[in-house]
Amino acid sequence: MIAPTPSQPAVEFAGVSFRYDGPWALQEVDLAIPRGDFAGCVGPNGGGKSTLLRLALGLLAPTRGQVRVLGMPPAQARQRIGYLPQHNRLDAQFPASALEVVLMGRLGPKPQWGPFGREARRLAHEALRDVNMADLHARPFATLSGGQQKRVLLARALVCRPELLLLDEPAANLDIEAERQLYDLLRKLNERLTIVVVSHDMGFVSRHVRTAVCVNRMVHTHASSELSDEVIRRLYGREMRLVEHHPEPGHTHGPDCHHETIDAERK
Amino acid sequence: MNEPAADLGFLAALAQFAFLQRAVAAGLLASVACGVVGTYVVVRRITYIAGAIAHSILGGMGAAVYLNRMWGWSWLDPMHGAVAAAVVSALVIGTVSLRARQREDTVIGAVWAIGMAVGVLFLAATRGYQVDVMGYLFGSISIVSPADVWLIVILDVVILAIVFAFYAAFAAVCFDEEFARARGVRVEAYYLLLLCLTALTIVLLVKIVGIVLVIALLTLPVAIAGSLTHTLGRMMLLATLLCAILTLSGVALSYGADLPAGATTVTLAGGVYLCAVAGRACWPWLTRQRGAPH
Repeated sequence: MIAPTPSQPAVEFAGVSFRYDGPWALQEVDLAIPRGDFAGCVGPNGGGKSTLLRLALGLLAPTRGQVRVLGMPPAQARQRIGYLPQHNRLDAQFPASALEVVLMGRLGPKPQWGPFGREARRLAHEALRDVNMADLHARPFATLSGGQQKRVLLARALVCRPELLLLDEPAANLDIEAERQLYDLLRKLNERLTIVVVSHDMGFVSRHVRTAVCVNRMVHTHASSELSDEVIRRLYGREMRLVEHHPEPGHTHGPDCHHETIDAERK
Repeated sequence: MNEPAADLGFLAALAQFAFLQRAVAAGLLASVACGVVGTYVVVRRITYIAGAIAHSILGGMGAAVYLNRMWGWSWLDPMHGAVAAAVVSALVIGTVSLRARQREDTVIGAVWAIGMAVGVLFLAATRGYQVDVMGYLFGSISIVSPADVWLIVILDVVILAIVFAFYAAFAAVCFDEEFARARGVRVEAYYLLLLCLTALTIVLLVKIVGIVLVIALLTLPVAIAGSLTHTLGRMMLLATLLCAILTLSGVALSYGADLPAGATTVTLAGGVYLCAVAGRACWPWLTRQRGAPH
């Protein structure tokens, strides 16, 4: 096996196709996200964004092609990946303190026998400090606000000292202020690690990320920031309308239908 | 209870009768497993899986009675059959729910009913033997044998050791399965282990409150504890205490009033739970009244 070197991309897809039982969810994806990047995966719901993320995490295996994360197969890279799942996948009423939730990020394939040791607790406190939640470590998770819960979950992703952070819809159900705080945090974290964000919220992505990865069955990367808000929103709006309100049986839109517009001239 | 000493006070009777001492010991010991494992059942929301496991136990007990009487397997106790049936049901339901999520409820229902049906058939086929089916269904804490008490002790130790060893992983799997899987935690193995612990706990509790009432004792003390505390460890501790108080009160009340102990315990638990829910609902209203006197 080739030893992973820093020059290899953080996330690399080579000719990757994937399908569950039905049609292709992703087709012929070639993608390379360099280390240190702040990338945002955008596209309509059901376009394959979360599938892309779950392939990178090794939770799904590609039907065709190869996925490498930090120069390794995803399953081997897991211990170096911090992951923030979609909020609706977890039980927000679960009885645990903020610190206990963060400690869950220390678990791995090797069993953790008995309670966590002093070193793990120190790292957990440190991760909570990184997300400005040090004072609230003893608070029950269920009683925290949406923004605070998100930051605790971010600390849980950080506590394994990852090189790559994968975030699935981090801005979902956050108000504007909480979203801004989260972004400030991510920008600071981006100084030391690679970040990939999945979001259906084009606004969030166009405001905050450096590289846009447009996912709608096929994938196009735009190694640039500063997408034109207005153009994206207009196009995205049309796309959403097309999907939700005007289901025309005979009409199929190209998988790369927002490609051109996202590529369009910036302000 | 048709004991001759029913007119004695409970404490005096407790000092005098070994069967009552065993009943109390069984209740207290089972409370430990009940509080700890019940907490996982409630937070992981697998009450109906627990229900199916409980009902499938009749199948195992029936088979054990049949083999014991008709085939002369005299070493085989109904409790052995109960343990086997509970663990097999837990593994079947667990595997299906991990592999084919959309069929989970169908399988839960099937295991629930088939277990009961098989049990009834085995008991019907066991000729010349009066079986206390009511005892299986609704508990028979007054006829706990010394061997039963030891079995409860052993299962308690096993359950506590496993929960202590894998506490963090169990919590992570219950809280956020997807994240745990992404960390490389063996989610399937822990989930099946948790279901097996649930199965063993149910076997213990069946002795006390019976197959039909077991879900109540497994979940109500935890539900009450959950309205008072917000961390897993404290919920387990509080649920254990509540379960112990409830079973003890159930045995004492039922002894004095000559009522079935299992049903008394569960009714008591239900009453306390309703009071806790009502109290919690009224609490903000009461504090608001006090906070804003005008």
